Amino acid sequence: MDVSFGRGHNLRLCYRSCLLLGFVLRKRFEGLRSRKGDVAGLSEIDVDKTMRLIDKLWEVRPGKSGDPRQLIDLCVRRDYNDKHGHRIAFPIPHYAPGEDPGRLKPVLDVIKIFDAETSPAARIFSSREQKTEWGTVRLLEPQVSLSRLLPLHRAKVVSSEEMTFLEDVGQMCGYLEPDQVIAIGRHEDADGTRQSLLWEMYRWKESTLDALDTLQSFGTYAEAPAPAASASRKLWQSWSFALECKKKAGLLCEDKYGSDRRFYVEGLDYLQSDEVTIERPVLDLLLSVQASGDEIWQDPLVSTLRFPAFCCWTFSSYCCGTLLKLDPFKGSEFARRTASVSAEDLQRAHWYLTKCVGVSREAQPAEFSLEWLERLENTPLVEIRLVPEEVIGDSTKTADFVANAQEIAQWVIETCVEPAIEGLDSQEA
Amino acid sequence: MTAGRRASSEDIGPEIQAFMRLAFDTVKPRWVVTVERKGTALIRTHCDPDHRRGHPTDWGKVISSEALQRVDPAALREGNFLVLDEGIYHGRRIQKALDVLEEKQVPRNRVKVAAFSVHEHSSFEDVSVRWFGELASDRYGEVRRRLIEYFQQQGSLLLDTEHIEVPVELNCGPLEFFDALCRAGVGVEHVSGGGQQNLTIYNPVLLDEADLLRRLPRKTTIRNVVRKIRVVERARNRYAIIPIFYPSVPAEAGLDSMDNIEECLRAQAFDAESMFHLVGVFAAINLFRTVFAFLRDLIRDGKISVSVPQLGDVDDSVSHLKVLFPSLDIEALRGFVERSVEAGRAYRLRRPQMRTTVRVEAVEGTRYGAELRRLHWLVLRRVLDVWHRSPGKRRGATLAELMQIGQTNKLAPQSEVAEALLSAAIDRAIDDADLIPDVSVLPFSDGVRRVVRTFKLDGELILSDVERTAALWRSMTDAPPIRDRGTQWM
Repeated sequence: MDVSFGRGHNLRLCYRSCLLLGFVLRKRFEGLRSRKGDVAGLSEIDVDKTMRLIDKLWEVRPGKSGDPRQLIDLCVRRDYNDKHGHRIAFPIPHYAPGEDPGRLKPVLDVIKIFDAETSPAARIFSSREQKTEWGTVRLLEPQVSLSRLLPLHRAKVVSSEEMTFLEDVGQMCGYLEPDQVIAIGRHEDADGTRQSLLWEMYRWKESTLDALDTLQSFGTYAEAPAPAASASRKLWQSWSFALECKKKAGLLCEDKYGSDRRFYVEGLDYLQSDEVTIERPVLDLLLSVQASGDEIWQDPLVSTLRFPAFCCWTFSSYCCGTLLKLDPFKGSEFARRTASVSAEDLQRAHWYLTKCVGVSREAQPAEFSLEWLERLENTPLVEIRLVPEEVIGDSTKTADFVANAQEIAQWVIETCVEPAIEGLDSQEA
Repeated sequence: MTAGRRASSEDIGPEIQAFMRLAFDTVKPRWVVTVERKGTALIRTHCDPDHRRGHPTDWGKVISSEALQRVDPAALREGNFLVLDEGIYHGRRIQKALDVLEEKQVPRNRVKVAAFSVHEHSSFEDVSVRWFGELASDRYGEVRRRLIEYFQQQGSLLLDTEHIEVPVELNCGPLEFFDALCRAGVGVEHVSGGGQQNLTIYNPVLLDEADLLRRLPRKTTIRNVVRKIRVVERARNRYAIIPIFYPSVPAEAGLDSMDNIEECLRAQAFDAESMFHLVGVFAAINLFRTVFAFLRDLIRDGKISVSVPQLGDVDDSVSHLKVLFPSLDIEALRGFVERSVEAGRAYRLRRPQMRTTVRVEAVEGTRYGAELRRLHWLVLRRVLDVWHRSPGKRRGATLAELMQIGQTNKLAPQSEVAEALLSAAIDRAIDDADLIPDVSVLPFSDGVRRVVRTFKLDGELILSDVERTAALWRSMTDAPPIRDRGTQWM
């Protein structure tokens, strides 16, 4: 089999892969639109994770042949990981045959480059901006119809069965809500979820230390807006990485943020329900590549990370949630993004954190639950000096709060996070 | 004069252009009589600036064979005539055109016939210019097929001569454009044999339907009639929008019933059949209001640009109507088209008028593509059945007779999608020159006889091909397997 690594050949493979992905995304978009009415587009994370799901299914599609004319597999890697989590990525074509590529570029980023260089009629996506509570979000509307795959079909790169398969996959994806397709796209087995969760904890650690360092350099927090803007962004990043830890660990499934475990199980259950009309072989294929929710989240590879992930979440809810309510940060875009954090949430976070910092490394549970934590009677191993209401009502306490937060963060990192992320072995962006 | 070339399957475009130059240089015609439809399609491919020398530079010198009867003999007193067709199988259509010219007292020595290809069994021998001659059936079919693909590549030129189109230029993805139009009706996207993207919007919404009906001749019906918007890719980022709408007009309607139709069209009416065609043009132009009402937002956002071409422009898509209506005021007609486009752009759609976008992709290699092919065959088969079973004079099948095929559709549980697919299948059959539109006068259940659009098989070659296939392939629900070469049926 001729697997030429010439730049032109590789680019052609990349482009063809993008067309296939773009087509399935189009079917997803149309499915959502037919069920929900006007849909302005798909979020970038929705697109990103759906593409990962498509690759998982394309890899194991029925009738896959070794015909070198065909697009046997999409030329992507699925274990690429960056601040957006597990993604599919293309190998960058600057290496000699036999060498490990080493460098990867996320598929979505490559498509943006393709689209920037082509006329609107030839783009994979058209985009528009939409204002949400999270700020301005870029929505993508896939623009690849079947007629654009026709040249590939005629050149026997893609067979009729494969085109039908892609349609069926797209139709199936069209039944899933964004949270569900994101969860199913980024999880498939316990090992992958563990890796993904460890990366989130690593990023949480880095962003939290960075945020607290930045805050410590402020004096009275009544500084000029620019430092506060930078600090609020970092606080929000820490909070959002903590949220990802919580979601990926399958914690607090029923709260307002949900969890990947809940969305994953809901999505797979819905696809198997009578309300959905999809081709059975495609559904069976999906169920064969995706472990069940229990197989992922009850596996010790994942369940042993629940407590550390909970600590990250509880800390950031307490610390970042409190700070973003203070005057220097109020009104900032990032404070608006955490507007959903209520006073009750802060109280609860404070209480849980008090409990968590009383659990030594040896006493960490193999299977964490809130009930376990609530039953715990222990003494904090690091002092939590201030409750959120005290800080929000009195700006003179901010410096002390930040200093204390650093101590607590250090404890969480040393006791919970670093022991966990020691085994991190996936490549980093 | 015979070029004596051997038929080949290579790109036929340069040969067509060479043939046209040869025909015009040899005959030096004052008039060109085009045998509908492919003769007119040949002229449409030929009317570009590079080939204007010695050729008619305006459509006023081109007359369709179907319009010849209406021309005043006094206008035909001078100059040579070039009777043009893409192919001569038996020669009946050419002979018919020559007979009409003879009736108009045009001397035979002023008339020359040119055909791109001639079948070996043609009884018509007096061909002055031919590119391929003495072709056996297989070769004749192959040349015909290549020619049709060429017409498709040039932009589906086998649509009726009387269709008006407005070009648009996209500055957005084609699906945004298609989706906007598919809010006016169910859309079926397919790719022509020439590789051009096509979209057919089935039964698009009528804005101000009551007003339209008031302007049509009394007792005209718009039920079970052809009403669609064709969108045809002409070049990268350029599409032609072609509305098609043929209300069924009472056969006994007097000319005064046309009083509310646009003046420039009204003046061309002289009998029931001409009224049918003119009402069709009028109704179709009204559909531009629908088109541009649904494209309003895209135009406002700069994602689409539109302008009705000026007369004589390369993409002038109004002047060719003179082929059918030689005394038509083209300037006024263009003005009507422009007003309709502007009215659409200014129209604010109401929520009930905006449907959810439904767009079906019926592309080769997919389920819907296979369904389209199946329906294409069933349409031809049904047309053949109607042809054979017509009492009295043989006629084509009506749309209502073809729509009964849609009940066999298993893929599309929603009946409107099934009808839209069938409508697209009819478009494919016309584009592939398997079917040709026609008109018939038929009785209706309300006791009124009306002129209706019908569809018949396009010529003896197709008729015999379909008959032979139908004899070998008896299934009433499935299409025969695809053949590798020549015509697509067995």
